[in-house]
Parts: sequence; C-alpha cells; structure tokens
Amino acid sequence: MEVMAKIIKGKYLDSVKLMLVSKALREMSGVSDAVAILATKENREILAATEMLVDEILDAAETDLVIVVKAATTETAEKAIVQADELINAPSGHKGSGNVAQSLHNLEAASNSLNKGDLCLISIAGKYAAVEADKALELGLHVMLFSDNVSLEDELKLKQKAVAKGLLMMGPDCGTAIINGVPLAFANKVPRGNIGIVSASGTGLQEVSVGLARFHCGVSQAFGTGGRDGKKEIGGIMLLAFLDYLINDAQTQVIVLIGKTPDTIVLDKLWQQLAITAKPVVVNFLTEIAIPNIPNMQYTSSLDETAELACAAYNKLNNIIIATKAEETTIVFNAIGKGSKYIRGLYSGGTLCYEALQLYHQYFGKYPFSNISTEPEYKMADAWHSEGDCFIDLGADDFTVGRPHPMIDYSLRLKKMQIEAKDPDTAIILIDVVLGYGAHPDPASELVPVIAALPKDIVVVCHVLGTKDDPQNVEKQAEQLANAGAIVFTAHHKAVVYALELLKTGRNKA
Amino acid sequence: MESINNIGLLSVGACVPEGRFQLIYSHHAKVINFSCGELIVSVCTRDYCPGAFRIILDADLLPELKTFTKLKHSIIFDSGKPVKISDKSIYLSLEFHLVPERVILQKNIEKSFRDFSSLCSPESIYSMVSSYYRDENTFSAVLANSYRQGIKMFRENEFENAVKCFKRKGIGLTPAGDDFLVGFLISIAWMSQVQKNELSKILKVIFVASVGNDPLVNTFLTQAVTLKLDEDWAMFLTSLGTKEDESLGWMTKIISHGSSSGSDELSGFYLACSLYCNDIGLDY
Repeated sequence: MEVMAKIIKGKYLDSVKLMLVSKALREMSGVSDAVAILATKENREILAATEMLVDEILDAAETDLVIVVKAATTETAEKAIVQADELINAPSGHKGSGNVAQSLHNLEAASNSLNKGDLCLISIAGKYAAVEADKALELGLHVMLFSDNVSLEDELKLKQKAVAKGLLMMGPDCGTAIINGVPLAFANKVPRGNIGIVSASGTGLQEVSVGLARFHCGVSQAFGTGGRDGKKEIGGIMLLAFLDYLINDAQTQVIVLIGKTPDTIVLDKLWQQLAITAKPVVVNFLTEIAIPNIPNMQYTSSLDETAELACAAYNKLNNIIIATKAEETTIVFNAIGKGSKYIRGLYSGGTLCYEALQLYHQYFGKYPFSNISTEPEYKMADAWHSEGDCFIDLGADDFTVGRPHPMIDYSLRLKKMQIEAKDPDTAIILIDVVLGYGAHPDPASELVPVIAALPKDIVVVCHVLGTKDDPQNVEKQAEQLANAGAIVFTAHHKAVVYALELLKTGRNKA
Repeated sequence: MESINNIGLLSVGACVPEGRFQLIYSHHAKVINFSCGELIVSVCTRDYCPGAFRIILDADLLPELKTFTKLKHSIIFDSGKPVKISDKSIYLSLEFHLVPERVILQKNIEKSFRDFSSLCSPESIYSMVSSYYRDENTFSAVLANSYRQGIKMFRENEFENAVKCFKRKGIGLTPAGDDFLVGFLISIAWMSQVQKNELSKILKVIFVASVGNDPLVNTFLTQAVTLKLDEDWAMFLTSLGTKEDESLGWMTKIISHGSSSGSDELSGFYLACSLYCNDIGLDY
C-alpha cells in the first residue's frame, strides 16, 4: 500500500466540501482509504494506527488541514492527490464549466444586469422571502415564490400588489410552473401547445403536464398558485387572475384547473367565471365533490384522467382523431409475502400522496394512516414510525426542515425503505420517482441498489413521473428500476390501483 | 464583492464584548472568526442562526472584512460608517427553568432520539458507533472504535479517560469528537437546570478535560457549560420541555449545521441524556 498526503495551509475550506472530497477519493478505484482532517496530535495517532502517518504530516501544524490517501499503487495515490487538488480548487456549484456566473447579491443588481429578464424566482428561508418578493414586485418583476413559511398576511399583501401592478405572483410554496415554454423549479420538459393549466399543486401540475405530453398535447402556460390561494383569507386572488388570463389568451384552447377544493366563497366566484367562458375546462380538486352544471366543464378527481379529458377536448376542437387512451398493458400480479399485511407508500410528491389516499378510500372505504391526512383518526401520531397501511409524504415540513427535498435527496427515502422492509408486516412499498428539472439527476442510481437488496417477498411498486425529453429520460429510468425488480408505471393512477389490487387480492387469500 | 456599508445587521450576540477586533482566526465564505482573548467572535451571513458570540449580517456572502469595532450602540466594520445596533437585533440567550412534569420531558426526549436516529448524518458519531466496518484498519473504523471506547468509559464514570477518546479526534474543521463533547456538556448543563439534578461536579470535570488549544472549540465548550446557546439549540431544548413538542424542526436545523457537526453534537447530547436523565430509556 502507498500512502500520500497533502498539507493545506492558509486555505479556508468549507467542512461540507471536505467531506465530499474525502468521499470522492474513497470511491476512486484502487484507493482503500482517504480522509481530510485537521492534523491534531490525536488524529495523527489514529493515522499512525492505520499506517497512514507519513513524514510530511509530522511537520504540519495542529491547525493545518491534511488530505491523506492510501492506495494500491504509487500511481493511484498520486492520481488521488491530483484529484483532491482539483476538487478543492473547483468553485462550489460549478463542475468544470468554463462560464462562472456573475455573482450578484441583490435584486436591483440582478434586475439591472438582465436585458430581458422579467421574472424572479425566489427560494430563500421563509422569514426573508416576503420582503424579497415585495422588492421584486416593486421592480416590476413577475414572481415565483418557491419558499414556504410565509405568513398569510404577507401572501395576501403580495398578491394584492401583484394584481394591482398586472404581475404574476406564483406562490408562496410554488414548486412548479411552465411560463412561455420555460420550465421553472421542479418541472418537466413537455411540448408547447394549447392547453393552459392553473394549479395549486406542484406534482399535480407535473403529473398532468407529463400526461398531456403522453397523449401528444402541449402546454401554453402552466401557472402555480401555491397551496393556500383557495383559502378564504387569500380569496383565490391568483387562481381567478390566472384563469382570467387563460380565458383571454389566444394560444390557450383548453383550460385545466388542479388543486385541493377551494373555500366556498372562492368556489362560487370560480363557478361564475367558468360559466362565461366558451373554452373547454377540466377541473380536478382531487376528491369527489358536488359540481354545478356548467357547459364545457368536465370534472374528475384523477390526475391521469385530467390529462386524458383535456387532450380529448383539444382533439375534438381541432378535429384530430387519435386514440387518446393510453396503451393497456397486461399486468401480472406478483404474490405478496405470506403473512405480510400492509402497504407503505413513501412519497416525495404531496399531491400524488393525496391522490393515493383518495384511491385507497375508494378501494377500502376508509383511509390509510398518513402524515397529511385531514381526518384526525387517520393522521399518523408519529410520522417516523409506520403502523398498518401508511402513505407518507416525505416532502412535508416534518421531513424537509434543514434537509433537501426528497425529490433531490433520496437518502431519507432509501433509509425509510430499508426500515419498512425490516418490518415483517410490510407487503408492498409504493414510491414515486419524480424526474425533470430540479429533481435528482439520476434517481435510479440511488434506488436500484436498495431495491435489489430488499427481501424478495416485498413488492416494490414504482411510479416514474417524467418524459423521455427530461434530463433523466423516463424510459431509461423505468427500465433500470424494472430490472432491479420494481413494478414500474408511468401513470400514477395505474401504479396505485395495481398496488391496491395486489393488497386486496393478498388479503382475500389470507 | 459588496461593500459592508450596504449590508444590514440582523443580530448581535449579547456576549460580544465592546472593543476592536482585528485578529482573524479563520475565514470562510460565510463566516469570519475573530480572536477575542481565548475565545472567538464570529461574523456570519444569514445562513447562521443568532448566537451569543455571533454577529449576523443580512447577506448571503460576506464582504471583504479585516476589522470591526463593537461600540455600545453600534458596530463599525473596517473604516465604514457606524451601523446602529437596534434593541431588537440584540440576541439574548434563553434561560432554562425547572420542568415540573418530568414525564413530558422524558417522552419528548425519547421521541426526539428516535427521530434523530432516523435523521442524523451517516458520517455522525452516532452512526459511526452503530456501524460495522468491513476493513477494521481504515481511519473511520479505528476512529469509531475510539468513540465506542469513550462511550463505554462515560458509562463507567471514567470521565477524563472518556474525554480523551473524543477530544481533537475526527473529521471536520472542528474535529467531530469535540462537537460530541460540546453536545454532551450542553445536555448535562441543561439537565442541571430543568431537572435540578446535581451534576455540577461531572460538568466541571468533563469541561476541564475537554478544553484544549483551539479557541473556537473552547468557545463552543464555554457556551455549552454556561448554556449561552445559539438560537437553534436554545429553541430545541425549550421545545423538549413543552407539552406541544416542536423539537423536530429545531433538531433538523441543528443537524444541518456543518457537514456532520450538528449530528455529532446531538450524538453527545443524547448519550448524556441516556446516562443522567431520570427514568429515561434510550436505546443508545
């Protein structure tokens, strides 16, 4: 074994970066160990015990940082040290790009530096977000506010200001939008077209826009309102404004509305507005509700069907005759483990999780336990510990404070999958894999080793949400997950129905 | 780089003494540590939470800064204009009082420990001592053995020897072992307040053994024993004593400190809870 070290004096490095450098070096072929540590007396003792203490470290000060590599050959060790140098000196957030973005520290400077920029996406800690959004509106910029934890009072003021100025105010807590064909935040690469979407839900918007692409239709505009716009305190300000825009937008021929049911006062205004448009409208409030008879309006609580109905309406308007039904595939039902009883849904998309709850209710006449349940008796007392049938939204605040969203960082979900698999009562694990911009660049690379290592009597049902034009390519991701043993679907409704049918069949047999 | 005169002041710790600070101990993208006798005062971006020895600027990145002078009602950064310290921006550390309902405390700690064991960084001491290492001759495996030995010694009340198994050992700019000791001391000092347990002798022995030649670590250790804690830690401990347990949010904020520093501090915190908190059952 060859040991080499590099002493770093007077260079101040971020501890997260150091951790990543050590990890990257350990993953190099031929490297058996690598650490980046302070050269304290105590750390040197450990280096000595592992035969990694080389002479140059003896001369280092206690406050110096050392990178030590143990490798099979001198050549590999040298290569690792060169790699360490490159990683340390690479600017954070830029991997080998020659174009280092201009660093700007306030909205005024950013606004002045752009020639045609007119939309500002804000993603900062909630307590600062309203102030920045207000500044952006003052500068005449449309706003997409990704941040959550903004007060209702601030949300109302921002939306009133935006409407007064004729600007978009999407959010707070708006995770997805597609404006003039440009996907913003978590969004998929879908074709431009003539179907306009207003959504209070991020993954709902993604599921429907991807569904439209699957049925060969495209999106004119897709606006996100944030989850609280339909509350009486906000009064559906942006929902109604966006709807008004789409009604008058020449490019939009069909309108889709998605989100949880708004407050009655907002709902009344909405029905009035829909009654005066001649454009076909598809509404989905994710649950079955009483609907007034409005010409041109269709209602569904299924996200897949929302896309299907919107495409059918568009095709009818344009005399296009194609089969809009997705190709039916023969589904082979796996047997679930003997004595195993429960389904565990581990979601990254809140609306997908919500839709799964509703489908479960349709199947079994009651709700499963969930951290997002609105029914107190089905609300999980402790979201960290599953009990019975459970559908958990891992993107909820309980899980995301202080860590990246589970669409980006799979570590928590992988851990949960392993925990659920250890429970002898677990029969089925149901997961969503959201692709597109902003999401993990290669979810299959994280999921495949974990799925492959799960006990064979646990069935993993997986919904992959994305298009083949997304950076991750839905077909490639689905293929890898299927090869690892998961049952893969590209439509959420189908994935959940499969899982529930499997559960029901298993229980009937038992 | 933005001028300091354009940047607002979000928070000034009440323990930051008046005077001129010109000796930089260390300099990072989001924090500059200034020497202050044997301790450290940190000037940070708003990524950091308020702390007793911290000055938080309303900025994402720090401007060039070589000195600052703290006056009674203002701060002068380099040779700029004085920036007024408003009453609202002064950060006073929370105080802790007896929690009469011990069952609440016990239940909250047990629940938060379960949360922690699911959420902590895989590089944390808690994860390391629970891990199996295929190659026992790697740095991590040997380090984990030292930590395991230290935990055993803490259980056997061999405090000074236990501290040696952690002090200055581990990865990170403050070695993980030091972070563990900080969390261990926070736990003992806090339990002395909320349970009125007599732990002052243990606290003193461990503190004296833990103090070393790194002023940044010494500052953290001092904050721990005096409970002059930063906002995330103070709110975390406060929430553990309330019926409406909201500790999870604060705990996850602590976990986000550094690469594994927060998780290492919590690793020490829960070990001390398991040893000195009445009637508690933690599977540590």
